[in-house]
Amino acid sequence: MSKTTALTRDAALVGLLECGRLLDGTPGNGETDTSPDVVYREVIQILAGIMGADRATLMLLDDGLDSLSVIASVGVPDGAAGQTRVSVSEAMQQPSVTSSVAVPISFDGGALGVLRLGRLDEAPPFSKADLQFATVAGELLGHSGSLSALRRGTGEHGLFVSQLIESIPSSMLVVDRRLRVVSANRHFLESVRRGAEATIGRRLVDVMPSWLIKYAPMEEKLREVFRSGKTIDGGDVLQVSTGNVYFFRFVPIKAGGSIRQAMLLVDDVTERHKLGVEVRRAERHLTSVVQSASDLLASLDTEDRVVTWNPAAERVSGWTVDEMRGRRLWELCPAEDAARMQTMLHEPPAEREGRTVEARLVARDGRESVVDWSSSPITDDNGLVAGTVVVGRDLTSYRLMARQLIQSEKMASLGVMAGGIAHELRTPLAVIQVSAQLLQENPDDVDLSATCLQKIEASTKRAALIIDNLLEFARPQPEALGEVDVDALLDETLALLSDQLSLQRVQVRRARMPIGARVHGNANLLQQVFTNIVLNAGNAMPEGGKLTISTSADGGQFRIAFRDTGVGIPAADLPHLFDPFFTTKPPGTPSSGLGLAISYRIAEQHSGSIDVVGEVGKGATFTVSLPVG
Amino acid sequence: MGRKILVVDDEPDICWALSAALSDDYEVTSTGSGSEAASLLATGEYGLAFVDAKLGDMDGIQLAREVSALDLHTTVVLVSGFVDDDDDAVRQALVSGMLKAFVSKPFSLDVIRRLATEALPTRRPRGGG
Repeated sequence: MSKTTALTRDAALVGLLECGRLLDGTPGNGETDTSPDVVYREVIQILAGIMGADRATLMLLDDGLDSLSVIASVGVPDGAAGQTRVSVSEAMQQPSVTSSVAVPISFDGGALGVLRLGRLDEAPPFSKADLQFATVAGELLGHSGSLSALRRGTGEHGLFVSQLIESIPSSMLVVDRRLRVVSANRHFLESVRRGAEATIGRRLVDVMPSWLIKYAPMEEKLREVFRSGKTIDGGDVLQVSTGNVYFFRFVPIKAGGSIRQAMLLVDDVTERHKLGVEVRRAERHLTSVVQSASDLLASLDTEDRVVTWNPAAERVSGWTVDEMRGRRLWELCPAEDAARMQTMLHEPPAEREGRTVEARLVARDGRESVVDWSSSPITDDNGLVAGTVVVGRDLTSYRLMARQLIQSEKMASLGVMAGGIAHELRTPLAVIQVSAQLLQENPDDVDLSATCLQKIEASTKRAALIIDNLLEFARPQPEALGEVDVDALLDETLALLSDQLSLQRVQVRRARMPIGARVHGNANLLQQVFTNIVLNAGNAMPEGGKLTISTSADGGQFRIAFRDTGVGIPAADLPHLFDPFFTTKPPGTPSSGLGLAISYRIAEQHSGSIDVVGEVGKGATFTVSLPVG
Repeated sequence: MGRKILVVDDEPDICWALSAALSDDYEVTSTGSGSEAASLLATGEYGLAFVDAKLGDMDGIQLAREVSALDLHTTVVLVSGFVDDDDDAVRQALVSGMLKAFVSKPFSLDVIRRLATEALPTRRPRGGG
């Protein structure tokens, strides 16, 4: 970038010199249009060149002071000089400009207009030195009187141009073919600490610092410029004693087809050099952070299209950065997750902060990963949103681990349960064995045979139920989740259990939920929780009683409370209520002792919990808490 | 020594199974309650008791101890699907003679009938009369 700017600056200076000569009345080729519009267009073109700006607009304030007329513009497609009239606020808004400077042009304390310069896309922002130069240019434009003169229809443009050359923050020296100094600008004179009279007319070697002559073969290069007529790049020269770096360039000045003079440009690029080194170091550091991050990192433009895509994102998605560039990030999500992702990306920044959204990402090979996404807006120097940076944490392995943990925990509890399972299964097995033997012994006893067959069937069912419950407990649950209407689910569950409840003389009172409560979860599993708790309550009331089910919502939690008027729970039993095969049911009641253990596991799977309060003789209340939606 | 058999189990189906197996040859009573069993056994009418190791209100071995203290010469057989005969309490009870035998569920009727025959050798003749 620095070299490009320098090149443009050289060309601009040459133009400026020629322009100055032209306006001074120096004879040119005689065919140049010197009307104010053309000259000003040329002037801002030169200014834009010097500043490395992609756009430049010179605007004059209209008499009403509420609108600006474009006098001249460069790089603005619809900015035909003199034809565009815009409001002051419109003039300041140029969305595609990534960096801009606007300086006032005033004369005699009154505002005349605005000079606005802008850089587009990936150009670096304007520096302080750029702004200073633009300010000087703006001041000069005002003070040259040419703009006020322009309003009157006359002008002296030459003065402006020469003043502008004087104020350029580069050293500039013009030499003739004999390598004697023809002119030098203020910057050069100040930096070599010489007066104009001790410079003009002298030989180049006499005015240049000796170290420079020693390290940079200037005379040789200048002779080559005169010979070839081409600009020669002298490159960077380091002044060892100070550590300063200077950039040299030798430019031919053509007049009437021949090269009579050549220009030597010297820029102090020490700061830029240092900055370049630092920027490169910082860039390398940042790049390595992004590249080696284990999280997915992507930046998106304002249309959610991918701009950057780090190796972790490539690895998880299977799509390379080149393949992803221009695609919308949410195109990789299943339809139901894509909407959630879009919502997140377009939320106001304040609401996005600290929030993450879980959305699946379908990789190139169809494999799905669960990713926890967060995003934050990228703003430009003007505070406008230029895009979004998205960070995604691949939860797949974490989830897998959590699942394995639950599973191994289950296996561990199965070991603990083995004794209970044995007991539970041995009873129906004993009944089956005895029944079978009695059938064999008494084939003709019709009544006994009927009883035996009935016992075999009932015991087989009982054993099967134990095994079902056991498998239910051990099996990893399918993760089909959805919106669950808790209200409807409770109604459904109570309908299923109504026979059993009336048999047990249990009256059910149901307090309606004030709002349509919905939780995110698996309806079958939640129904199992409700069933277990209701049956448990029924068993706690052998003489019958009341079961009150009430629901409430607060703090992002739905609470479903089941209050019974049963025997209550001894304090010693409370810690064991959710242990597998723990049971307090009256003797003879078929029970696996797994109901509450499974219920608790399910509530946990839904990021919820089950709490119990109860005292002997005072009934018990089981409260299921589930996070909202 | 009593001639009757008592079956003590909180599973009604087990009570049914043991009664069905023995009622042809013996007079069998069953109960699911440990305390009720204790008072029935105290009458001295029972020569043999099949007792479940885990009762709702009492431990099977505890019941055997109570019976043994009454010195009624009642044979007690422990029946269980939960503990095994390598259980410490069971082994001690067997060694001390408090328990005559241990039967694990599920069981064959032959085992049950053999235990009954051993405990109550003078069988009531089959077919009545």
